[in-house]
Amino acid sequence: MQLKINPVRTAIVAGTVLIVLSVILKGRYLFVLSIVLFAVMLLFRRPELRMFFRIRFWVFILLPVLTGVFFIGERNLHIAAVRVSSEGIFEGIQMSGRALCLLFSFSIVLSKITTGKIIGFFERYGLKGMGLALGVASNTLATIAQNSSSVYHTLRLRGGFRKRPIKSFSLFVVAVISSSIRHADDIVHAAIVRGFDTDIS
Amino acid sequence: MGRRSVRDWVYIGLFGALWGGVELSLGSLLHMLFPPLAGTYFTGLILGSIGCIIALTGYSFVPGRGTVLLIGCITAILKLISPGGIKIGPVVAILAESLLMEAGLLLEGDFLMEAGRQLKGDSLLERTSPGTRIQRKRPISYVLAGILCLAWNLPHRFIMLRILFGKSFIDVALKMAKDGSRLLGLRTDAVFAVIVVLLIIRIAAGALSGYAAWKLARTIRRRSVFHYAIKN
Repeated sequence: MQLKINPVRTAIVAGTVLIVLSVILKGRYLFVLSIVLFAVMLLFRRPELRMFFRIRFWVFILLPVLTGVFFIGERNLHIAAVRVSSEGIFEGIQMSGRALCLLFSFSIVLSKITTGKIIGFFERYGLKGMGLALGVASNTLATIAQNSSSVYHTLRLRGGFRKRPIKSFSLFVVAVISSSIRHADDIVHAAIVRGFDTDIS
Repeated sequence: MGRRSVRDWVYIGLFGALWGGVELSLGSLLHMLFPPLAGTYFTGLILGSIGCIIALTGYSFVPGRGTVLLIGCITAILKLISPGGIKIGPVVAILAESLLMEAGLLLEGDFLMEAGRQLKGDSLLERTSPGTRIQRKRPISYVLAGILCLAWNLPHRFIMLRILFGKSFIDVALKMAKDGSRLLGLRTDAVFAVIVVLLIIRIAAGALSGYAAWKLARTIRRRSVFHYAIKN
């Protein structure tokens, strides 16, 4: 008997387990979990580790430690003429570790999911309409970008955005949505003539 | 949620893509422009307003319960599977905002009108089969939905910090607020006054977004009718 693995379902289960572990574990167990997740990231999701080069990431991770040393517990340690709390350092590191574990968990779980797999997942569970909507959404993104660019350049070449910027912006929004709706209508007609029905599986 | 036609699902996908497109392009740009900790209060407000306008415009094209929530789900999935960075915060915000908009639309009550208002032979406006009833909401529903949507923006940062860093971080934040107000010589009430002002700004932005969505939907509908009148 061949065992069939549903990637989306597996991702949901694995994600839930990892998130629950990140939330409930404390102290050395949380430290071990973060090391394991980091190793998994290093092995399978190396490009995602680029986040370590972002200032935003370090602000996010160091914030609990920096606030913890001054605002949690009694300040009983002297580090270069600054009094800090040893309890605060421990609590801060723990908070950062928990956040890091959650980030790694999401990253690992999401790496296995693609649009096609999600559409397949919806269709398998009788949500054919949702699958269609997601398929349309992911394929329409490029058309929307193209339409927006054409509308923007058309308005700009006619002096829009300079004389009456608010009016031009409103025209831009109306034109982009109208053209996208026209495109959606073409998709609907194409689906209907091919006998597509969201109720038939 | 009721039975939906192919057209309804395609429109839900389209409006989800429009909101997703804004989140992916403008979202990234705004996150770069604003400093990390101030991000929620500027980026969130701008993206929330645009998202609210798009989702509510979508609702006017696919009237019915659950439409805004479905548009939000599509946007959240697009945001989740898009390349670059980890986006727990934006995904939670999109889902919460769409849920609150849906609640706002439900709160105001259903105003049902006969589908007889549909224009004869106009394929774009004919969403339901003859004899069925379609929902049309008054602008106040849109305004209420907008207010609820943007109101989420204020507690979002605290809720996300609670989820990511745990309970301890909220205790730290409260202690920081107390110590900060004492250091600046302000009363603790002043902190709450700041929160109230921020909330009022969000309520105003939400009301404006809701009304803008209603106006936008009407304008687009009128233009689409014009387009189809020429075509047919």
